[in-house]
Amino acid sequence: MRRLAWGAPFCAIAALLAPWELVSLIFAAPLALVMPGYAIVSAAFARRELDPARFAVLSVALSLATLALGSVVLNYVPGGIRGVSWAVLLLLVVLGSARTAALRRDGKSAAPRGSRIRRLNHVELGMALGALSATIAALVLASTTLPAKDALGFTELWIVPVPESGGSEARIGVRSEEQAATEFDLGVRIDKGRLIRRSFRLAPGESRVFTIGPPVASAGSAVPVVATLLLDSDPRHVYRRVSGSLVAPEAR
Amino acid sequence: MARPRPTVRALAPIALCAGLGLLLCAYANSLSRQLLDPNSLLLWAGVLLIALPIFYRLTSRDASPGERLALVCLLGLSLYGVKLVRDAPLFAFSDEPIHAFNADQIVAYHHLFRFNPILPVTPSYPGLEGATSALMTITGLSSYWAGAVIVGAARLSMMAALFLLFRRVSDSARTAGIAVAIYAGNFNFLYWGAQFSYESLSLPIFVVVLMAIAERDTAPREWARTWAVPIVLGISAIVVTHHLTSYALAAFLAGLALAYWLVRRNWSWPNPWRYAAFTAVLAFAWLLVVANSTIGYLSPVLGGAFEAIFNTASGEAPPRGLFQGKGTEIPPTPILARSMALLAVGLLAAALPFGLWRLWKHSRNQPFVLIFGVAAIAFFVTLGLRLAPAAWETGNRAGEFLFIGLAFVVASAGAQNWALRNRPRLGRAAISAALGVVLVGGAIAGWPWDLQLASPLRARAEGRTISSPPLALADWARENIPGDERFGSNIADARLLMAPGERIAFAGKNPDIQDILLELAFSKEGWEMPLLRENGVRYVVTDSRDIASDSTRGYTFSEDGEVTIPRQATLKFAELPGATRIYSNGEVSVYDLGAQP
Repeated sequence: MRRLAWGAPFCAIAALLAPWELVSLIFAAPLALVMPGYAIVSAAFARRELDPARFAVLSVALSLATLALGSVVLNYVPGGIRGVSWAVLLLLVVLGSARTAALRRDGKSAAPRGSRIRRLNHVELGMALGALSATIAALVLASTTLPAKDALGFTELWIVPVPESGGSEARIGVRSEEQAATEFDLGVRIDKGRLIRRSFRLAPGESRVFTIGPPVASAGSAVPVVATLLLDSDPRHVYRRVSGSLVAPEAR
Repeated sequence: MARPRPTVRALAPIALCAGLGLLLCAYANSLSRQLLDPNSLLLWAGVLLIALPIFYRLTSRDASPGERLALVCLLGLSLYGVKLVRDAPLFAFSDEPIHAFNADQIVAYHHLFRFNPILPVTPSYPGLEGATSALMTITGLSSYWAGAVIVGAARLSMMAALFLLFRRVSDSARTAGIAVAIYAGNFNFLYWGAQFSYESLSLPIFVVVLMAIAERDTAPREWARTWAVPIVLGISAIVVTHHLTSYALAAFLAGLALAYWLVRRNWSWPNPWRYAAFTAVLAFAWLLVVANSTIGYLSPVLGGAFEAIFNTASGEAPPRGLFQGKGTEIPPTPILARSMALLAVGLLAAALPFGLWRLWKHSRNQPFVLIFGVAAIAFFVTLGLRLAPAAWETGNRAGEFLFIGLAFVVASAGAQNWALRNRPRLGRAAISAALGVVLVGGAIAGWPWDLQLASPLRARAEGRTISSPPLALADWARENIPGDERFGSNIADARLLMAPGERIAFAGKNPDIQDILLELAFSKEGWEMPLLRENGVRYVVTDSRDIASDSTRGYTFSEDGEVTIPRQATLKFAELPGATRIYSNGEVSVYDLGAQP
């Protein structure tokens, strides 16, 4: 219980302060997925003996139950559901239950004694490490983005108003999701007359954003904008077209 | 009798096989994500490389209970890994983006019970997303990885709890291990039940509650209060996590209480009727106070199921074809795979009478045995629901619970004691092979054949990453459209708009976005725009891909020969006064209908 009482705050602080998610998870996982249940089971079974397997299962399951129910509790706490409030709640559960366990157990230890595990020989250790390596390799392979030559590439074209411009400016974006570098011709017509042309080349996954406006028009009037994207290799066909409008700003 | 061998010595090579099997599954999926059309046998070889050594060891007489427990945990985690390596690090199962959206909302707004446009009932059962929010907020992990850790922990506790439950009831670690191995063959175990969805947390806690009640049964009377702590906590957690599981638990405990009464002819301790009543009252109170939309959500599903059963049974409606998807473009399940699935069901059905007979002969005075026997028979009744179109899902969901009883009954048939020509190893090998058939056949029966392997959502091109059309849309929306704006779109696009797009997107029939998108022209009555306005939809997403209406297949890249819907259906929005197309990626376009008047 003493280790739990020291370990829980340490894990909470380390998890909250850790700069990387994976490091934070190393501390957060025992704090969230083991310690609350372990402390609750220790308190509930302070005067009984529970074998290690059942103790372990209940520890994980009751930790999950604590998380499910804890979110409902935190929902009604000032500040709501945040990292700090979760850490505080879990600490309260762990320390409160550990204290209860210590008071109830009358000097007897509730936590099960771990069975002695035989040391692995070199071959067994090699196999265990092999299993771990294969699992990590599988997860890395699964998370790796791979080429898919038969997947049809495409290009995105969009127009959205610049939020802080009051509608007088817009961003026109082009993002290539093509399989190979592609040359584009972008034409933007503002109202009936003004035409802006841009030619550029985008590698797969690359994007280019242009800002247009404000328009030259009477104040407050809306001016249509049409953006047309052509493939440099096939300039006679419209590849993408989007439209929007610009609002002429009030004179200052 | 042979002395149990030290646990670690036997475990090391089995764990190595499991790791290599997982790697093989990841390799098969990597080929599939490259659209290289790999042979599905690679995947099943990986699954069997994980499972068969475990099954073989579980059938042995000399493994210790601790080793068997470790083996079933290894089985559960490794098979969960098969789901993870299919599509990490993106949610690609139909319910996952819905729950990921809820988790993201909790983290963004610091409160529960926010709005979900596709499944409005889900925020009312926030147990899974609330638990996930703990890891997300403390560590900064995404909902995908935080959810994967939570579901993984839940799976681990389910496998261990199942083993302990079966061991307590059967009084045999060997039978318990084999029963858990059989449970891994339930139709939803490999994929559907492993997704980031509320049942993936509630079902494991359900099993833990059953385990605790079984343990309490064997404990002295003065331990009653001690066991009440985990049981009450578990029940409460289930009630706030998943509606159907809480009702299933109430029904299961009520049945168990009745079984106790039948066996012991009294309602006093350890009859668990109080827990059955507690579960029912708590679930009902939650339904009334917090989650009253559940009635409107479940009643059409269950009502439709009853109607479909009646219609199919009376011959008014044709039966649903097994192993068939909804669309004509979905490839059929190969004969060999169908045979494997039917063989799995056949093996279970063949073992059932022997299991029931042995249990009736030796253990009929045990309430748990009675309830498991009823569940085992009920499982085969629910198989009939698969023939009725609208009842299929109800039968499928019920199967996960009933399979607990079936696994126990089949394991109790005693096949593991069979020594083929007096050669026990041959008998064990045959039983392991049968368990392998049950595992693979169950997975084939529970998940469409063409979806067993992953499809690409992202791909590498010239050293950079490109995304599929719906995923590119979701990324664009997250970066360019304010978080409080609403979209109306097809089912697949909507799900990715919700996660990872973190945007509110309506889809499907309620509200009827589906008809607005698929009709070739607007109606004369003009109900479409008022409906969109009523739901605050400013952006309409059109998608020319037919598959965009499929919540399990519509996320991936297009290939040559993609089936499309008529162009008029997508172009009609350009004719709407004031509507402008602000986004286009060829197949997917977004129309801005303008701000709400």
